[in-house]
Amino acid sequence: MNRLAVSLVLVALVGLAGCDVPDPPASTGGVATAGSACGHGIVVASSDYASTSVALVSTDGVVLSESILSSASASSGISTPLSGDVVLPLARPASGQVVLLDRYPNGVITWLDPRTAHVVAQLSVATGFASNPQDYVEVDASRAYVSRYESNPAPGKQAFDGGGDVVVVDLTTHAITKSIPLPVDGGFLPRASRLQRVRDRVLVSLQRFDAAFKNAGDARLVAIDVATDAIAWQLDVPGVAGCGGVALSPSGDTLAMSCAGSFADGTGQAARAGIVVLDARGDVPVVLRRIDAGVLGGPAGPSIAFASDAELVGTAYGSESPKRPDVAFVLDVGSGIATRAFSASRAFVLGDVRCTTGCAARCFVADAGRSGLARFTVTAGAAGSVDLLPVDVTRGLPPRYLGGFLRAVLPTIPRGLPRAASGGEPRTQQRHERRR
Amino acid sequence: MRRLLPPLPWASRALLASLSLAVSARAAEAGRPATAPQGGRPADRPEQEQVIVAGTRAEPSGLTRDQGVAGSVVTGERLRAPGATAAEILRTQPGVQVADTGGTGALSTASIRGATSAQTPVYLAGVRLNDDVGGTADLSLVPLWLVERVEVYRGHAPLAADRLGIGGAIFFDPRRPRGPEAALGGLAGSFGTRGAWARAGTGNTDASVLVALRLDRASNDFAYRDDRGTRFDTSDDVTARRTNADVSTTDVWLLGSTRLGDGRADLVVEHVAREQGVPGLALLPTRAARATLRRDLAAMTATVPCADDDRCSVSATSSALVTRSGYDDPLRELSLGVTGLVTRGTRAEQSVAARIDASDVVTLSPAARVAVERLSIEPEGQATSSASRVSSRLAFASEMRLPAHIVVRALAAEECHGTSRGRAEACDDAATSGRVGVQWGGAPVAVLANAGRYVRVPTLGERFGVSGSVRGSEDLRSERGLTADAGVRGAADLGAGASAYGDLFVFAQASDDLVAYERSALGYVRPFNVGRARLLGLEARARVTPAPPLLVEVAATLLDPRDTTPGRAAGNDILPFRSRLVLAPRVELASRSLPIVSSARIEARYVHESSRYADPAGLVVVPAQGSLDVELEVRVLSSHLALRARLANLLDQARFDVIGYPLPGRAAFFSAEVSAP
Repeated sequence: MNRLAVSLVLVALVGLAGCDVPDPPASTGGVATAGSACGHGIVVASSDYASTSVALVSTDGVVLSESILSSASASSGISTPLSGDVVLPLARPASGQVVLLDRYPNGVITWLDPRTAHVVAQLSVATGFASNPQDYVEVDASRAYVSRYESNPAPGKQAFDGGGDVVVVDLTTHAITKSIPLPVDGGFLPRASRLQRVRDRVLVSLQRFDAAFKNAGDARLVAIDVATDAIAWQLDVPGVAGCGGVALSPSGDTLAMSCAGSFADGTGQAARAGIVVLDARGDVPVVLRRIDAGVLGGPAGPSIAFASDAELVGTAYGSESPKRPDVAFVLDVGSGIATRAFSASRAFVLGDVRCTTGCAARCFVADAGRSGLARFTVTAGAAGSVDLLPVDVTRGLPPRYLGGFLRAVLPTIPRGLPRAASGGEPRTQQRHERRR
Repeated sequence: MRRLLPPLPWASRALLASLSLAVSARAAEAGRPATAPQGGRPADRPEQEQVIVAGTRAEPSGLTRDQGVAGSVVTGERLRAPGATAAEILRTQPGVQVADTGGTGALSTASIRGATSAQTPVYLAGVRLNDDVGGTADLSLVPLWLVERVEVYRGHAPLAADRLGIGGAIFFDPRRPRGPEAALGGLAGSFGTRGAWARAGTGNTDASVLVALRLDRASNDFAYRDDRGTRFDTSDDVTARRTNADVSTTDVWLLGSTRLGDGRADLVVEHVAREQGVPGLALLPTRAARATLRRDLAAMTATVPCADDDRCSVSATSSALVTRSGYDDPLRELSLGVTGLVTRGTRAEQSVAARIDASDVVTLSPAARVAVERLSIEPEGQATSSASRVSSRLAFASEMRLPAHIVVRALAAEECHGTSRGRAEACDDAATSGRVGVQWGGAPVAVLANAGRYVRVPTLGERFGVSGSVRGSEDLRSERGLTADAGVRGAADLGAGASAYGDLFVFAQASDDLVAYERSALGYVRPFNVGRARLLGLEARARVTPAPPLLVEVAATLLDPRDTTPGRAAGNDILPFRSRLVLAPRVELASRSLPIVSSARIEARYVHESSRYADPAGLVVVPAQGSLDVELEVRVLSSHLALRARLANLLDQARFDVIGYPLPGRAAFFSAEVSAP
């Protein structure tokens, strides 16, 4: 009788478990870091805004690991391992780790070892409010800056909870050590966006929207001296607003900003949108040229990248009414002439842009509308043929954000989280290419 | 069967039992099963309710509005458990899945057979509660304390529903005035739960009135595990408590009933007002976001015979629903785009229905309805936007009782909706819905099969938007659904007071033009028609009373929900937010033959929900979870004093239906009620 009861209980338990949903696809593991001709690769964050999968792609367009980490890499509780809003740093982390910025709601920085697919560390930069981290740059071996978009309307409850700042993170302890408040004036919050290293400065692009996103101040660049963590200067750029994208030319001589204007301005949005080109050779950049939205095909998107010193690749927003798709363009920086690279399938589907200058000289645009990376070369101020590289075939998530990672031999990772928490076995590039 | 009886005074029970026997006898004389005609309203026929509960030969489902479809009923003391919510009651019912977002007063919604909560109309006193913002009904605003009966119709809604929801329909019926009565009660429990209520009634069987008032509040400061968003690093996890989740609610009822010659008129008026914190995501708890909710509901139904015998009756219902939701968000923690937002909704409705026994074998039920509804959204410091809709519906139901205990039912409805931003316009969206069904047998065993086509018109919020971050699409099409099911249910008298009831249904459902929200790169969401879904499922319920004081019941739902949207990119095709298995066993022990106490009842129930996805790609898994609840009721002093206790989530299992919104852990609630007579 007891044996029968035990058997029935076991059958019932198996039956209950059998009705659970299947386990999500596992991590496809890490990648070999040696043997790359280029020395670095591309990180792709694919998302439907509900969940995220992170892939590693070589600069010549081979998917090295389709999902090194995803929202399925650990169990969920009051949060998910990765939310649906994960972006990647503009600058390739010198530490060799893949760094993920989980913006909302998590507000978490995740350091990932690309060789093992294991999470090395995590740090919440929420500090009691939806801080919305935007970018990350490693300023030396022990420090990184993280820009936080939101300001806390009721600070003072815990350390570093002011927001609207750049926080300094100790890379040995993975803890916030300092906050660098960004200037607030005219009722506009800083809205810190991208971080661009220019010699011994880190430039912070401020979008300067007010609390309700109804009004925007002129675009502003703020320079932080990496030696002192102090603001060295700030530069307002009159006539443009909502400037999120920043790029530095390969030589370091030219800086560009992409500005979407303010969407609250409706039909007047384009008037304050465009690309601003600055001479970055001096300490404080000097505006050289502004290319209007009309030239680009619409208000400039949030990401731009130099294909060469003379050519800039970016995207322009389409619209839903009237229907107009996003476009990707190549801009001749010298002449200010923009050439269309391709049109997206609809509006608001083109994401980050990344070009592998000094290597394969290819550019990639995350195209969520076609669910792949649009890949093309740039020559003589124009894009060559565009082909589509599917990245996340298994999960079907569309790519939206691009970052970079080093494929050189990494130093010993100083801190690690339990292996069971994430990732999978290392996987060589050759194995993965065969599989695909 | 006895324990399905509501806790009425003995004299009332005897009276109603005799009435039910009389109706049973008349039904038998007419050569047809003792089933309620379609189109009737429960308020019209207390006798029929008693037919259901009085004997094993009655139609065993307990459904009063339409016995030709799958469904279930909850009555009696289960609705009186201290601290119990409508969401918790529905979670135990076959086919129903609930999404709860917190403790007392937190938003919770229900859906049936894998449909969305917007496709599942929920009625209180016959008035649909689903708002026209997102189309859902907030179960936390259902005042369970004065509800006498919950009826769940799965897959097919009865004619009494103004919308033939794709998922079915849920009805919460308030108690009716029964003459002189008075009661005073109080509640205390975990998480700062406090409540007090009073009701008083007067009158007789010709005319009676009942007024009732209840005040509730709770701090909802339950503990949860705060992972701080770092799921890969458990070293920084802490135990935190929900903040800014307090709620206080005032609920006032006026219920009246009077005889109109051979007919009857019933009046229901309800006012509920709530002030509460909006706690937000547990990961990012809010500090200052508050909400005020107010609902005024009134419905009057008059039913009169239209012939000398009872072969014809006409009922007319007028109802009005006025809602106001205000959000105060000084710190902009709710991402409303503004620091204050008020939404107002109004709906006025008039319906007329008739039941005509055209012959001994055919009953016809024509019905007509017209409703005017309006939604306005008032963002602080910005222009008010509003939208209106005029809806009309002509419906016709028929029931044909054929030889060999075969009953064929058909229902057809033509809806017409005129929707606009300003003044409501003429019909610009027509929809046809209906179903056919056949039943073989009745009591004690019936075999049923139904097939139907249903439509959900986009809400005004979906059409015209709610805020800057939730925009609308004016060219949205109506969601359409085809559903078919078949099943059997039956009851058996096992002798010596023992009895058994069981039902089992299988169903298939296909939905098209589903409205889904897509977020743009700019952060706002907008609805669009893209979804297509196919659902297969099985529902079963078994209730056994092996020995009269003991009752054992099990409800089970198996669901296979699939996304069949053409061109779907995601590798996963299992629809999110739907458990593939829900199992709800329940054991109840009740006795009226105890020393000192008038009656006692103890119930233990467990609800197991298998894991489910929380995202379309199937990467985020809400783990399998369950909750064990135990309820105890003791009545003393000739039943004039009722003492009740409820231990909720006794095993203190971590639970959540929606990522970011933990549900309370172990909790205890106690209530006492003094009543007379």
